Amino acid sequence: MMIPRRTALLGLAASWTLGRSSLAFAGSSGGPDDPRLVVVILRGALDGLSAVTPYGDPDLVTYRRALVLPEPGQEGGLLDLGGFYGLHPSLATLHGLYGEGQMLPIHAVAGHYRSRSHFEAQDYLESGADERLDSGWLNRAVSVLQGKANRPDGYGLAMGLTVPLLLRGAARVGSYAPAGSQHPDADLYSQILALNAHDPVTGPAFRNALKARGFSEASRMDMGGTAVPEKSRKPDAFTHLSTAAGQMLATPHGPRIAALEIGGWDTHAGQLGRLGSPLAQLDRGIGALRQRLGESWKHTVVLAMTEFGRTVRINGTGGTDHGTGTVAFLAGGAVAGGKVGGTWPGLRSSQLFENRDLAPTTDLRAVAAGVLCDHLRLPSRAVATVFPGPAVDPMKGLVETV
Amino acid sequence: MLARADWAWRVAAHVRSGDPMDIADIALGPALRPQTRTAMHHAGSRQDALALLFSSPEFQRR
Repeated sequence: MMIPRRTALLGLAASWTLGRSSLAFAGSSGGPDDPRLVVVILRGALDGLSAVTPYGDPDLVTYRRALVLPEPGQEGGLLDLGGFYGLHPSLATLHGLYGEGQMLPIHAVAGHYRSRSHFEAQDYLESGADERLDSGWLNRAVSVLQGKANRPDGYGLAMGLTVPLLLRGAARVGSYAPAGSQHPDADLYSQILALNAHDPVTGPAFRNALKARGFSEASRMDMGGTAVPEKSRKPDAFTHLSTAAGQMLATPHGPRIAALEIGGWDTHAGQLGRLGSPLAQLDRGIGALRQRLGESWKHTVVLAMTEFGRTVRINGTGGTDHGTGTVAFLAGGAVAGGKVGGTWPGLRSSQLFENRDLAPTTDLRAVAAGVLCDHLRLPSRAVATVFPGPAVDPMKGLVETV
Repeated sequence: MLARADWAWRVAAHVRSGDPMDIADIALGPALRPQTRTAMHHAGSRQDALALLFSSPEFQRR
């Protein structure tokens, strides 16, 4: 059976309209000292070994010498995190926060699921379960907290075009999308151009349109390069959304929980040149959140998480493939940071998961549950509601106890 | 063409579940090129995969 293009799009457009109408702008909440939580989904699988590099592990270079950056102190080198781990140099803001005791990377985390499909794993990550549910764990947490605080309206906010599964469910949430966030990023444009490169009509049309919009060397992009804006005229979409989120979370009766996302982490090829851009976006976005939250930053926790990690070994195209264990970041004035959390599993081949991936030693749900319980004061009996399935033991010591 | 790509990306954001490859196979069947299939397989999110499908020349030319 073949469905004509217009019929296929019509069907999708109908779901778009329904999706839109199901969104409600959410209400407000209590006081200025309420705890804030921002969850950032890094879609596409962040390579944890590049973001927080265990340069002190002697086995690292045997797998991926070409991907390992110089040690701390050298030109273009890692930013030191206490002698064993080094932070990617694109994460300078996060490194500053680490120095202030406000950033806590947790290494060798993975969700409870084992899937190497982005779409499945993102569904499970956001569902907080080993299967795809119709609601996300953050929405279920909002439901419990609303009951506790006896608030008539929700206090969650999705930043972006749609509400991610993470924040969908019974509790009402708002959504906000500024005009500037409604374009694919340069990397996706490059891929679209590559698909059309040899078409006599669509190929030149794309090339010219991208040139007109200020992307340079459009003719080179279809050779596998990445489209680079000629000059950064405006902040990237994630910074834009983070700025807006920070403003809304800072208002005395505004939302208290926000969800954001960044793509561009799926570095199968040319990883060394590709990873800096999404990492820098994350870094700028967290900087924008801090700035806009102002005094409220001290009541804030940001959790950045990804669906799975990447292979320890470099592949044939200078990249890495879908893996298991990776890193998660906690940042914010309420975070008990200045150290690297988790348990390092080691990189000897007998220590790798399935002889290819960083072995996970911490359940990502335990990190999220630890933040929900100790920061948002989620009752511990509600953890099983938020994370159904195999029991979760909320991690302790992630936030400053007042 | 660029406006079509932008629109495709925005519409793709609203597809909440399912495998984008199923949509590709139903919409295009044998007309789906291996190049597009590979690009979709390597996409890091459902939205990116569908935006690639909708922006591919074989989809645009149908």
